[in-house]
Amino acid sequence: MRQFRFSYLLLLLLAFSSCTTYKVEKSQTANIHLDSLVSITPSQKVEGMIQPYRDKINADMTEVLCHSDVALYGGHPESPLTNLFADLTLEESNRFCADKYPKIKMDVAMINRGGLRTPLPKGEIKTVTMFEMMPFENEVVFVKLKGDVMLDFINHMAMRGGEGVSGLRFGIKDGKAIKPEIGGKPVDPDQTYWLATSDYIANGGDGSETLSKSIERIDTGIKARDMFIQYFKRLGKEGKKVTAITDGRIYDAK
Amino acid sequence: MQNRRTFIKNLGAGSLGVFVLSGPMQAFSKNDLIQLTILHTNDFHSHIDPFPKDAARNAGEGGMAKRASMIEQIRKEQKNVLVFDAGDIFQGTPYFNYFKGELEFKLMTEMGYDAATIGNHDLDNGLEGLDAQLKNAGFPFINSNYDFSETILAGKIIPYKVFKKQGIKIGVYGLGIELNGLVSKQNYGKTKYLDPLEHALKMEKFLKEEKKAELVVCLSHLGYAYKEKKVSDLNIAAETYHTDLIIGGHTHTFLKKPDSVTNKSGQTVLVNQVGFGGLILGRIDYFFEKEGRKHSKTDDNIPIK
Repeated sequence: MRQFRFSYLLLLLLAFSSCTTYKVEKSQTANIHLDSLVSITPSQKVEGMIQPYRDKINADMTEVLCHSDVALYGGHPESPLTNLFADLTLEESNRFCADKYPKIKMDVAMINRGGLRTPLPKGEIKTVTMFEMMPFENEVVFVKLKGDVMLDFINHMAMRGGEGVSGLRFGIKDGKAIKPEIGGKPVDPDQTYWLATSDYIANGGDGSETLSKSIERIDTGIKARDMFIQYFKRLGKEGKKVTAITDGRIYDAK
Repeated sequence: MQNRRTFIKNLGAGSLGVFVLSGPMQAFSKNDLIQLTILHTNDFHSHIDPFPKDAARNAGEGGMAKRASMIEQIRKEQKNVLVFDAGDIFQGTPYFNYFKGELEFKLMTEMGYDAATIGNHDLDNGLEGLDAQLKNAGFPFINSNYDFSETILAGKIIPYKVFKKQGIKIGVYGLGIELNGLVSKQNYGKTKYLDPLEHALKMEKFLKEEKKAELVVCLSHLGYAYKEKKVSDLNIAAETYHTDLIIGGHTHTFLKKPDSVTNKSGQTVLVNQVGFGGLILGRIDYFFEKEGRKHSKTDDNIPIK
């Protein structure tokens, strides 16, 4: 019955649209550009082709990675959410380096506040949670910076009111960074440092153009989201819960 | 009533009866007209399933299983059907994140797509990402202004194709958007972007004069129109001589019906685009006289609800 109605409508459509050929009833074509009267039965064959893929995604998306006793919210100058994601980026990046680039080690990780689209909910953390938090296909990038460029970048973050950082500590006074420290030591303009961040930031996103002055850059090819998933999955496997801290890594200096 | 009279005169009083009684197809076949139906999509962005029921917009609309049955239905009614896509097949739902375009291409193949062009998002997993999925596409990718010769895609993307339907030759070429600034350098590698208009002029002349195409179609991912000075489908339409139809994408423009633009030879070019997300199936019917001359055209963009 539905099939019949559909074909009848198409015929009707065709009948009217044929008239447009002769520029007579053209207006009727537009009128018939229906608020869809056409209702279609989905192709069973195509449905059948989609189903196994859909099942795989649904199973994966609803997989519980780990648990969190509290909801974590973002904010600045620091926040539990941005600290957690910067910390896990540093940790996971260094695991990756140990495996693939044993000669280097990340000193600092930075995850921009704007890249985390939702808070981390309380309770079950699922794969789909990570897709909601990080819908972008950003990849993790390593850049090697001279200390003076790193200071530029730190000042830029201070000007923005703070971001998600790990391995780094600084105060903000009048929109500028004071007493910046990496690994507990003052940042030395002549030393070099490795920074793990997203390709978005490394490519100059959010006004971080200074990062184009990197000495070396490694595009890991790892999606930030996949890195997050990997971290939370391991946490769950180890029976640990999500913990996040605010430790004054970025503070308002009076 | 003047219009009505013109209509009757043009159609011929004799065939009008047939038209009314048994529908247009029969009427035209009696008049020795050959009908060609062109169906098209653009920017469907991995929307394999209908939009979620709780989506803010277009809830429950679209979906490839519905698109498939719609195309199947039209094939039952029409002898000569061509199905095209104007790019950005990839990216937008977890289907892409998970399967990297495999299912999109497999389903398009099942639906009998005849060709597609390349959108910027089709390079989201790099040239290698597109290359890896080509084995799942039982249809060619047509692009005439990207030089892939120094890349992994060398020789795998064709600059044009001529389709034959009941003796009518349909020449198709493809145009892609400037990659620099839109796609990360890492993803497009040594692909060279060449001037779209220059290559449109070259391809349409070649298809018209060398290949004797009776209809010249451009699959474009340039975008419908821009406020700023940037080459668009409307520019290409106005600046070419032989292109009859531009099937566009990129700007996600929902056109109720194709735009008509007058080209350099004073002929009308149709420019169409059907939004994004696989919500609408574009449809344009051409009627050819027996000697193969293009006779007339009709169009309808069909919502997939």
